[in-house]
Amino acid sequence: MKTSARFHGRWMPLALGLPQLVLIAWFFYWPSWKGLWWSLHLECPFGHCTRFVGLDNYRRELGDASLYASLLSTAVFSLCGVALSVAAALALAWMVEFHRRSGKLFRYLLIWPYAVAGSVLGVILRAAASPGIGPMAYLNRLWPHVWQPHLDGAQAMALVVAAFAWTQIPFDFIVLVAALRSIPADYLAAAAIDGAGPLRRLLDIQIPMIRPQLFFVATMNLVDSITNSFAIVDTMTQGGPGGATGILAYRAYRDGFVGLDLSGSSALSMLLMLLLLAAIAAQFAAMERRARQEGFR
Amino acid sequence: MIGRAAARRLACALWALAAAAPLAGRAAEVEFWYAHGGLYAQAIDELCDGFNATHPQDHVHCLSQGTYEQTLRKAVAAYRAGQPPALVEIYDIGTADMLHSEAIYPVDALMKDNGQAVDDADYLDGIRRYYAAADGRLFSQPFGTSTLVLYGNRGKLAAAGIPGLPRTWEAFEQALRALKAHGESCPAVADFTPWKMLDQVNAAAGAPIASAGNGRDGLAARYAFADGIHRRYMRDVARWHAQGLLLPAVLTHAGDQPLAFADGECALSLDSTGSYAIVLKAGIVDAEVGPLPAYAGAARYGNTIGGSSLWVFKGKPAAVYPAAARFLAYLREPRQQRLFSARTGYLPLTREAQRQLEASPLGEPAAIRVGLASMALPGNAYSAGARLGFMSLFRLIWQEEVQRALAGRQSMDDALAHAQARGNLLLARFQATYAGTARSQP
Repeated sequence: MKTSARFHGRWMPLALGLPQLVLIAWFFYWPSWKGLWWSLHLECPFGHCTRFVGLDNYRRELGDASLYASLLSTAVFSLCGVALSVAAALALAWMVEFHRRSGKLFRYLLIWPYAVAGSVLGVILRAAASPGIGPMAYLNRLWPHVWQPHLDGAQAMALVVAAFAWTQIPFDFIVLVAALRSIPADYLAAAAIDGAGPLRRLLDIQIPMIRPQLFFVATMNLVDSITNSFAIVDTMTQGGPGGATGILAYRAYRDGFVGLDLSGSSALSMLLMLLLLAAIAAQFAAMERRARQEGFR
Repeated sequence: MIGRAAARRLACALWALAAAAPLAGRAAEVEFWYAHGGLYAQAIDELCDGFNATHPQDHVHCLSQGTYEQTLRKAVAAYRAGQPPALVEIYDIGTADMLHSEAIYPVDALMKDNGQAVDDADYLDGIRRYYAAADGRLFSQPFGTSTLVLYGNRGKLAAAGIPGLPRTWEAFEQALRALKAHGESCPAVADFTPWKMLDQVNAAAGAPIASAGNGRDGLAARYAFADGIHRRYMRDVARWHAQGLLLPAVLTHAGDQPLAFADGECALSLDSTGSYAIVLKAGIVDAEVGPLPAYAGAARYGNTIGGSSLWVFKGKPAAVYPAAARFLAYLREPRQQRLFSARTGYLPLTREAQRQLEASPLGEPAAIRVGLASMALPGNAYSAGARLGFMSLFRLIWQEEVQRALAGRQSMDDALAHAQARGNLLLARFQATYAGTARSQP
């Protein structure tokens, strides 16, 4: 009897992998290729006129001052969004782990929000954060004009960052709870006997030991924040006020889907893809360098 | 996500099979995509049911596809996939895209080919003007049409000592101040959309939005609004906003302009005649409707319109078109127009329908009467409204720049200059995109 986990022959493994490959080709490679093609052409919405223009679409987008404002909002949104999600999820996971008896209940409760779609959440939060009704409107009655996300770009940005973090925390929480669980209890008990308090144990034992998982959730959050967050922006702020929350993913969506500007939107999407690759490469490089340094220490 | 998309595809395929099965026995199945929800969708569904009941040989499937933007986007995707509906409702600012698309069967030709007599001259002038191509032909059939009017809450105005609705912007500002002095928290409400603040105000003043007859004379048109009447008006708007006289709809309890007036919170609202349905439904008894104000001493021209028209895609089986023509003719019947008008506040489209509406026992609803009267004022080269490329994106740019001005991050003059410059880049690209095509003249 063979014990190897490998399939023999050429066709069997290929056949088993085929459905996945077809799906990836259909939903990723084909649209990406189409996007690249459109980004090099001036393309009519109805497809009857297509003219090759080389890199003109890129030149035009890169020459547009509002692109840089959009890049800045993307950076602020992604960095704040990722930091907030990971920090909040870690805090929650740590508390659940710290108090194991009630932890089990909270573990389930905290996973629930994962089932809420981004756009639904956007609608709910828009109502909750409305300056005219709801709890925030009460603040406005106490101190007039203190909460006006329809005019104040920073407040609007805080709002979408909070909404984004809300969507990410449950996933991060699941991963981090599992990670904290995997740390042998002896280490923590030994540290406690030496007099280390809960916070000291977190900083010196738990966080260093779950660093790979922290890195993993941060990467996943980053990818989501750059590519998949336009639904939140669309339902909450539509990129406003005055373009303050017009992150790149939302602009690409808006230009293509509302404006029928297939060429410009494709060029933006390609730029977005490059940006994402660069961000992930940087993240991996930083992580690896740290791992190496620690290895030598 | 992938699983859900694949499931939807499968469901679509099954549905198509199921829908195709009875085709053999019946004459024609026509798919009609419309772009409304709520009250308006109910009225459209009623029209469809009426047609299907009276035309047993035809069957029209009326499907709501969401907002105007979503409907246009889905129509584009369906056309590119070779599966467009026979009929689709497209909003006013999509007209240039549709005219240039080379994907449509012109409605005037469709009606002629199928023996449906249509007298284009029977359409109200403002409506025909808006949708007509440069040679006067109608490539689509006007449908949900509205224009801008001034709604006032009679009780609140009278309490503040204002005798009637203001007819000039100067009187409008005085009314706002009187209302505020009388303790009104929301003298007027606005959602700061360019259809109301740019298209309509400029049309009423007979002032250009863009060169080349607002874009109707060709693709070389460029925006030209940043230093005319629009600048004067937007400076006023900025001042009213800064002084708490004109509230953004988001600050009201309703959070929405038509509702903020309909629920009695705000005293004045410049809004579409199409919002009359919401005002009626709210049961507000004090609603008074007047024309859009103008500046004192300036000539007052006819309003332009907004809304949608119905387009026919080419490339469907031949049996579909006679049925589509019958459905369009049915929608155009004065009786159906009246029904739709009365339910929604959209305007009747033809003179005959207008006459019948006037003569009906209830008379015309106030918003419709005022709207029709505003459109009937004499026009000039710019009263027909703008026909420009990428207008949906331009409107977003205008809103973005104006929001920055309202927040105090730039002056209103700069906002309009920026919006104009950015809009002109869009127009240049639209021109370049369609430069080599057959219909480079709209």
